[in-house]
Amino acid sequence: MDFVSPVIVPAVIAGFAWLISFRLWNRKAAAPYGHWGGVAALALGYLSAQVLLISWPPWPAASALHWLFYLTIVAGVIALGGHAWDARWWVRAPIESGLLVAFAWSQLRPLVKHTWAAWESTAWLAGLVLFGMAACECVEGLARRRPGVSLPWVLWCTASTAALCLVLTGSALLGQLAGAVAGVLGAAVVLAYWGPTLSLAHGAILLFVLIIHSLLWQGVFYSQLPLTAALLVALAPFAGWVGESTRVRSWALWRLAGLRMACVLAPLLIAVWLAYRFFVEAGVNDYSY
Amino acid sequence: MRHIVLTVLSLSFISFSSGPIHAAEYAVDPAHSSALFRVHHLDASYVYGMMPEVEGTITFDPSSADGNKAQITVKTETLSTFNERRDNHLKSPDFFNTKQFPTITYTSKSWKKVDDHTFEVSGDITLLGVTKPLTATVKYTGTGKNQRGQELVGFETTFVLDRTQFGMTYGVAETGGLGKEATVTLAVEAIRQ
Repeated sequence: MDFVSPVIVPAVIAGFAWLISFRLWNRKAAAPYGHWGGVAALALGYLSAQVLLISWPPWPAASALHWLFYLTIVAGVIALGGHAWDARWWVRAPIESGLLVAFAWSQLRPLVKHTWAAWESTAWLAGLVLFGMAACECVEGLARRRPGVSLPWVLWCTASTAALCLVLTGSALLGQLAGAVAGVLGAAVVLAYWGPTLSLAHGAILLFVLIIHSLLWQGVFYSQLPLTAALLVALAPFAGWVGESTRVRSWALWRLAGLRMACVLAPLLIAVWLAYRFFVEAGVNDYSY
Repeated sequence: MRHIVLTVLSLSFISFSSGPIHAAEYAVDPAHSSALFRVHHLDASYVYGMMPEVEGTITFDPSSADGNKAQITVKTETLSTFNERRDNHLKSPDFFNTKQFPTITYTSKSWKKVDDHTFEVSGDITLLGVTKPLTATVKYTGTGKNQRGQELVGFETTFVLDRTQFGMTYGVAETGGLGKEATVTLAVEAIRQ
C-alpha cells in the first residue's frame, strides 16, 4: 500500500511553488503582500493529492470531495487574483464569504437535501460559514503580522493532527488528504527556517481554512470524527494569537515560542486523545483494513 | 345457426386470450431480495458482504424480452460484512460513502433472451454518483405463489464490477491490497402488482 507518495508528491510540488515564488536568491527581502507561492503550493498540493488518491473527479461533481476539488481550483484562482491585485478588504470580504458559503453548502449538501430539517440545515450552514470567516480573519491577521516559521509551523501541526484524528476515526482517505496539506506546510516550515520573510498572507490562509475545515467537517458528518475533536483542531490556529498579547511580547524569544507552542499543542493533543479513545473503544484488534 | 355463430365467437375469444402473454408489472420484495459481494483481501482469501435491502420494479414477460424492464435500488446503509468495525469503515468516504450516497441503482435499457431461463440485460449502474454501463447475464429462477396467493417471480445474476471506475480507489494496490474487482450477486424476488 502506497500511503506515502500522496503526501510526498504534494510536498515536492508545493516546495517548487514556494521556491519559485520565494526566490531563494532574494530570500531576505520583505514580502509585505506575502508570496503567491503559498496559494499555488496549497492549491496544487491538495489537488495533486486528490488526483493521486482517488483520480480526477467527475463533472458534475457528485460527492463532497468532488466539490472540494473543483472549489479548490476556483478558490485558488480567486486567491491568486486577489494577491496579484492586492484586493482591499471590502472586495475581499464578500468574495471570501461567498466562497465559504459555497464550500459549506457543497460539503453538507447530502444532509441538507435528505436528512436535516430546514432549521438544522440553516444553523449548520451559518455556523460553519461564520466559523470559517472567523478562522480566515484570525489566521490572516497572524500571517500579516508574523512572516517566518511560526505560522507555517502552527498550521503544519494543525493539518498533521487533523490527518491523525481522521485516520483514527474511520477514514484513512480523508486523513491522507489532510496529510497532503501537512506535507505542503512541511515544505513551508523547512523553507521558512531558511528565509525568515516567507509569508502565508494574502491568499494561502483562505485556502488552508477552506480545505482543512472541509476535510474536518466531512470527517464529522460522513465518517466518525467526534465533533469536539474537529472543533479543537480547527480552533488550534487561533491560539497563535497568545504570543501577540502585550503582556508577553517583552518575554524572551524562547519563552514566547514555548508559550505559543503550548497553547497551540494543548487543544491538538486533546483532539488526538479523543480520537484515540474512539479508536480504542471501537476495537483495535478485531479489524485491520 | 345461432349456435354455430356463438361457438365461433367463443373459440376466437379463447384463441385471443391464449395468445402471447403480455409483460406483467412486479415490485421487488425487499424481504426476499439481497445483494452479496466478495472482494479479494490482501492477495489471500475473499471477504463476503451483503446489502440486504433491495427495492425496485420489474416489468417481465418470460416468453419475450421486448417489453422487459428493471429498475433496482440497493440501500448501501444496510451493508454488513459481519464485523461492525469493518462495516463502519466500508460505509465511510473511503468506500461506499453511505451518508452521501445512500443507494446504488441499476436501470435496464435492453433485454435479450438467451434461452427460456436466461436473459442478457444491459443498462446503467450508478455507484458513488458515477454512472457506467453494465451488461449482466440474468437467470430467471422461477415463479411461485406466496401465502396471500400473489404471483412471485425470481431472478439471480452475478457480475464483476471494477470499483475504481466509480472512484472507489481506496486500498487498491498491485500487491497486498484489496481487490479492485468486486464480484456481485444480486438475487431478487418480486411480487406481481
